[in-house]
Amino acid sequence: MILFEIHTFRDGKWKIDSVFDDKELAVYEAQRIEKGGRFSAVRVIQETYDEETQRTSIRTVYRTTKVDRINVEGERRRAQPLAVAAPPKPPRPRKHDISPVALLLTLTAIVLGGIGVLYLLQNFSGRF
Amino acid sequence: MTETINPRERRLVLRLLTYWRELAGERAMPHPGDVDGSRIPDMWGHCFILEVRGAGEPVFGIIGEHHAAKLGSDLRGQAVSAAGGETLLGQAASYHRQVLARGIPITLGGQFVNREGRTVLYRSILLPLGEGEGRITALLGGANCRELVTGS
Repeated sequence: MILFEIHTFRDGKWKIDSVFDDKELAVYEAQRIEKGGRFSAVRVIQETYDEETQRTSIRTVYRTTKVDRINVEGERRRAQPLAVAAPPKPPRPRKHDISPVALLLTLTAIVLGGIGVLYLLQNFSGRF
Repeated sequence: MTETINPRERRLVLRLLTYWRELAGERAMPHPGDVDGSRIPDMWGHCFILEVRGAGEPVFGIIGEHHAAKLGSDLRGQAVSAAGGETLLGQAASYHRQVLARGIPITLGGQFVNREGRTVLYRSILLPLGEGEGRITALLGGANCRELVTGS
């Protein structure tokens, strides 16, 4: 015997919602529940009972989560043609950009000027 | 977020399940008194209610007109087994123990041979009704069918 259980996930735990004997109906209902937005995840588990061995095997035949949906939407957006996107703007020059050469020359001028002032003070201060 | 019955959904079992969810809200299951046949007039004739009385076999409380017409006798107040396996009502109520044990809606379909010797395909659903968390006092059922035409 094969049964399909719909499980819903909320507040950190799975709960059995309902049982079907028809996979198509179970998956359809699981999708309806998912669209309702009350649960963060929904899955359909197939339970197969083997009367000879009296053992039950289970497998997940459908599962959807909000994370899955967001990922799918992201992939769809990434798959769109690049031509649709606006061309990137050229970088605007920053107002206070100074080239390293100009900076070096400015510093050199300041140092030389300072040395010159000290020289003048040492050699000519007594004459005034 | 509330659910509403989709008018485009034609399958009785899914529409009845949606109605049951709507009644239940955040509860595990609706109270038997919540069920109002006048709100689901297109489905009500295919529905029935089983009253759960202790550990014994449930008895028919309400039987929709489609089922009543097929039975030919009034089974209200009688045990589930009185319906018999050759009727849609008997098939639809036959798995009540599973619903009582699990406390969740179960829908099953299949086929059987009716009193006239015709093969009937059917789909049914049993939904728990109760008071408080987990104590089932009644079952809401719904079922519809079609006869398998010979030679098709």
